[in-house]
Amino acid sequence: MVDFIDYEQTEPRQRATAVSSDDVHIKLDDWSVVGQSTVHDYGEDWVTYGRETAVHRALNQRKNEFTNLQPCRVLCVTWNVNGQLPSEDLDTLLSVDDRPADVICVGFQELDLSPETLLLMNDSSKELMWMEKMKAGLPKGVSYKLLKHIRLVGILLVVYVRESMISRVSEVYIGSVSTGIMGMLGNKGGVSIKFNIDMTTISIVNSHLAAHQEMVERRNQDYRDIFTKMRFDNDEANTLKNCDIVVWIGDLNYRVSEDEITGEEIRALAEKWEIGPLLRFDQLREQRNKHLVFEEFVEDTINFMPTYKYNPGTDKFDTSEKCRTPAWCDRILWKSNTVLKCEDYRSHPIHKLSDHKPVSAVLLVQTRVVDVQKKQLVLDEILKDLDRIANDSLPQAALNRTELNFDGVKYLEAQEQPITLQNTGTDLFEFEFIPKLEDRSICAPWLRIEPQKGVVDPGNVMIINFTVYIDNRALKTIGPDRKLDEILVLHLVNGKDYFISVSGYLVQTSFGRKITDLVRIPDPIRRQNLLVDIEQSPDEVKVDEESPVALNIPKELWRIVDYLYQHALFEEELFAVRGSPMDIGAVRDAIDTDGPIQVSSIHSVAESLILFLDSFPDPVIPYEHYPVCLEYCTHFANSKRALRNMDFSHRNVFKYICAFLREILSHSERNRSNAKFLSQVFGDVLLKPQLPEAGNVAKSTSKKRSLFVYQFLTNDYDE
Amino acid sequence: MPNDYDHLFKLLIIGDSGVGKSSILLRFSDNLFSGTYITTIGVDFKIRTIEVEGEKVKLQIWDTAGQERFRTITATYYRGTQGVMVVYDVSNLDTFGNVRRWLQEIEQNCDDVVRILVGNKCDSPDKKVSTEEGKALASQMDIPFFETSAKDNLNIETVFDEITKLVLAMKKNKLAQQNPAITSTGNITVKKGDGGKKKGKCNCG
Repeated sequence: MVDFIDYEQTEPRQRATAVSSDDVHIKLDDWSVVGQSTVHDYGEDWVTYGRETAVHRALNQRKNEFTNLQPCRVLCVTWNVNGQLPSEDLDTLLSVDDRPADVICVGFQELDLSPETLLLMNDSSKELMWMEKMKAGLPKGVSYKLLKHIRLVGILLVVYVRESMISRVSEVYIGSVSTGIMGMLGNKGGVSIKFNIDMTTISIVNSHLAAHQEMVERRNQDYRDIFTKMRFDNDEANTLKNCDIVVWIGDLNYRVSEDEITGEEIRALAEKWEIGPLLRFDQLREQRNKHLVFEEFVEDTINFMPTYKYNPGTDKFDTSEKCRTPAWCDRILWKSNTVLKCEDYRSHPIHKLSDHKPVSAVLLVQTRVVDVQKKQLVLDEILKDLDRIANDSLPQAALNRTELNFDGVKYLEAQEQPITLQNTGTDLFEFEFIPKLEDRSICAPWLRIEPQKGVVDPGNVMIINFTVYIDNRALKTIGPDRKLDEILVLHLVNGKDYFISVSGYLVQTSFGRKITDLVRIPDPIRRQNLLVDIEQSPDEVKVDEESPVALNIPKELWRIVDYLYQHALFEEELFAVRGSPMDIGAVRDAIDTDGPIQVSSIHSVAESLILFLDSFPDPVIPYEHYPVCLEYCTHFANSKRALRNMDFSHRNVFKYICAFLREILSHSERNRSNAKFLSQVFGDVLLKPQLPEAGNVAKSTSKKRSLFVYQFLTNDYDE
Repeated sequence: MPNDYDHLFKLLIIGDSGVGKSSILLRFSDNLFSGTYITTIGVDFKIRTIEVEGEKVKLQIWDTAGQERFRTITATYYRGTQGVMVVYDVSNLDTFGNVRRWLQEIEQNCDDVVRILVGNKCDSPDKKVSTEEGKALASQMDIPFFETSAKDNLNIETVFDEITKLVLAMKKNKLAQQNPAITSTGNITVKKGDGGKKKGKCNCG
């Protein structure tokens, strides 16, 4: 956005100085550039436009820090030459100033009115002649170089640059827009040359807008068409919009309005040099005051006579039949986001060959010169700032702890500990636990994490629960030292990873031990004082196959069965009703420490028996004998033979359980037990396949397992 | 829209716990130093874009936990790394002694990678590892060596600049080997038998 100073109300030296409101702060009285905001907030830019754009915009925002302003004098001339040959010398037009301009821009209209030029856009011999004339008229003592020229039928624009500063000029482009009939014919329209001086982008537009008193709206539309449709080098992105300075010259054809004043009155005022009263009716000023055209443009005060229409060769206003009303058709305006001062705005009545007088303006422009070293420093800062923003926008989290200790974990008893994960960043993040290295699962089988992934909003806290639960499957993965040790990787999506260490200690238990081990341990597997067990004797109760077998069956089994024998023989629905988890824990503690069994329900002890039998790593009927036993499940003699081939302790356990079950069945009148049900329950516990079986296979093998046991419940068996 | 960067490199900082890996990264990424010691439990990364030899290089720098118990896990993060900074603490002899082990870690987990040895905390009045010892080890291992101080911001920019240059050179070298046409243009020179390895050089304060 560019603010405008109302030139009617300001001092002449401040006049027409355009101030860009958003980045350049200018003290009008001394031209110095001041003020640079020190807070650079590019974050939003970055999010909206991407990093490259953000860097670009940030550089633009901070350009004062690495650029110096350098004055550049630009002379702009516009002249409708009415198709005439260049019969006059042009030094009276181009070399009138004491200080020769650095850049000279000359725009002609109606340079060539021949029908061939109009239709065929061919070369114009007049163009060459005028170019020659211009060259001859350039200020003496200074060497100029033709930067570029472009012609659209009769509209010619030529830019000369002082040779000594040609190295500061870059990115030279041309463009044109035709606004004639159908937008095709080039008798009306505009041409433009765009170039950079140092860092400042300047476009000069030369246009010839629609003629005639009443065609105001047409002229406005021509301007809009030229402004919006102008493309440089056919590049859609290269427009007049991204220029620092646009200088618009040409025969804009705006007249003096005859709405409130007659043509005769206008002519009379003009002849009396009454410029002020006449200007009040200038169409261009009217239209600009209504913001209908040349919005954002500035024009300096007009204190020259109307430039149209004269009798050629004279300074007399048109006396022909048409008797055109005098008007300021030929104008120079500009818009700028940098400092620009108009030093002079005048007409040149000395030139008489056309029905128009030439108009020119001397504009003092401040171009930006880059200090390369300073720019690099600023760029480094910007890149750093952007990186910092990028780093800040990475997921930021806080964990209340990264180490969890589970001391005294008991078999089949869940222990839970939470960790809180807080989002301390500004954006929501996703988290998930990920497997480490080649692992497929995120954690050991004895650990459960809930939730394993999720989303946390900024400022919010997620509670993640870690549950250690050791069942038979998990037990197999725990080493003989019974240590629980695991590192989890908590990953923030697009961010960092946290390592969470989980450690713990499984309390010694007879559950999950081999039958062949248990029969070698005559003492309780754990002392009653739990703390002592953990802190002072964490070592395994060591047994090996060389140790003497001390017991016929594990003492723990004897204790459970003995308890049931004493308290449950007449109990109905034994092994059909579930016990309570607390009781079951108590039974485990009791048999592991040789303490008294105290339960609220006898069924807890019954279930403990099942769980105990189920926990043996090698089942009561060892895996290697499993297929044979299934095969002989209906052949008692062979079944007995199979049994005889088994390990002594396993065989004893099997015999002991069967004897106990037969004892229960002997009281079936009171406890309503039946052999079928018991062999079904115990068949699946005493016999187990080494590898899981598919559903339909499992169904038939389950039947065989119970049949195998059934034989021993319904027949007396002794070796 | 043009690319934000010409190259994207992944760098890794490894070394014993407490040698100042996170501090080096924080100094480089945010130009900050915090006197309080917080052990890194996990891996973290920061990004920074720098210009090296006129090319925009975006660095993604991973800071790893140095504790022994995490060593097997941190090995995962070596994947896709182009440059590794092995850091020791000049005031702690043990951390210097472990440098070889860290270099072995790189050997085991990385294929083509630029290595650089960094003796941090060179501001320390209680220096236990002399600059000469650091230099000697580095030249023995044929890798560049720097002494840095994250606290006093000594050599931090330099060390990242250097490793980035080396990674860039390695990348170009590799490209040239894949496509000999590039070599013939002469803008990238490949020494025969160089194999992409950099000559050990010292550049310490």
